[in-house]
Amino acid sequence: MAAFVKAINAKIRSNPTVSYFCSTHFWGPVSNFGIPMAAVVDAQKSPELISGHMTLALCIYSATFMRYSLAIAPKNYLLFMCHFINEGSQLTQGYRYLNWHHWGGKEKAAAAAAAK
Amino acid sequence: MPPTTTMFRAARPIFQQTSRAAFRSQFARTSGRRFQSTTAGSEGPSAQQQKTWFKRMWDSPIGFKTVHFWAPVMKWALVIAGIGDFARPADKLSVTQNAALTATGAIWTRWCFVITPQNYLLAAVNFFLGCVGVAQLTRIAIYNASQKKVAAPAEKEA
Repeated sequence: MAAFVKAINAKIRSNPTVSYFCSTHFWGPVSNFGIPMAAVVDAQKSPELISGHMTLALCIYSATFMRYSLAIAPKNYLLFMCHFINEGSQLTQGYRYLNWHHWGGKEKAAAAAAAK
Repeated sequence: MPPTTTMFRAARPIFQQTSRAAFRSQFARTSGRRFQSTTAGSEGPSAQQQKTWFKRMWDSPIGFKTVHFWAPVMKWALVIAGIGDFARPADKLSVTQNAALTATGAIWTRWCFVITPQNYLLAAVNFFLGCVGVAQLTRIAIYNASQKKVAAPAEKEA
């Protein structure tokens, strides 16, 4: 069994493209893409679902990891893109949250619904 | 008379011991270093002890001034925000966001043990992030189940 695994691993590592797609450098950032995807899906829904604290924490987190992904060796541009997109998504959600709760968005929506 | 090579070999311990002892005593008379720089030699061991833990962390390539230190620390903010969200009512929670946080926490916990060097602090923060995500998803599931229970008897009555 161990020899079988070792043989497969040797085959994977011999091809640089396959090796990359079977590596943590690829799948770690891919799993992180779930966060901006969740934010994009939630942007279509009501702003009531947005957690202000979590959105702020994710903004700071993505900014930090944009820097981290370029500071490590080797640089991970996929992780950088993931957090760059997440920064945009979280800032959008943050704007929707602030607009809803602090800048009159909820009242405007209520008034528009009442007018209908 | 045994051959001279054998005699030399037999006498080796005597010679080696004295030469080693002589070398060591001469070595000890100096500061104990093979090579001496001008500043280190004069200051000696006290300079090392004066560099405190904080100073070493400040100057280290993975210390307080670098992102390598602060990136894992930042991730705790997500865990704390998630714990703060336990107070949010279950109908205001986002399924997709908590599922994404659970997935990323689980995968990065595993990766922290397979990289070199293993980063236990990062593994811990990702583990707790996964736990927070699972807790929130459970709260959402329980709420949805209770909503169905409320809706079903109401439909039966209607």
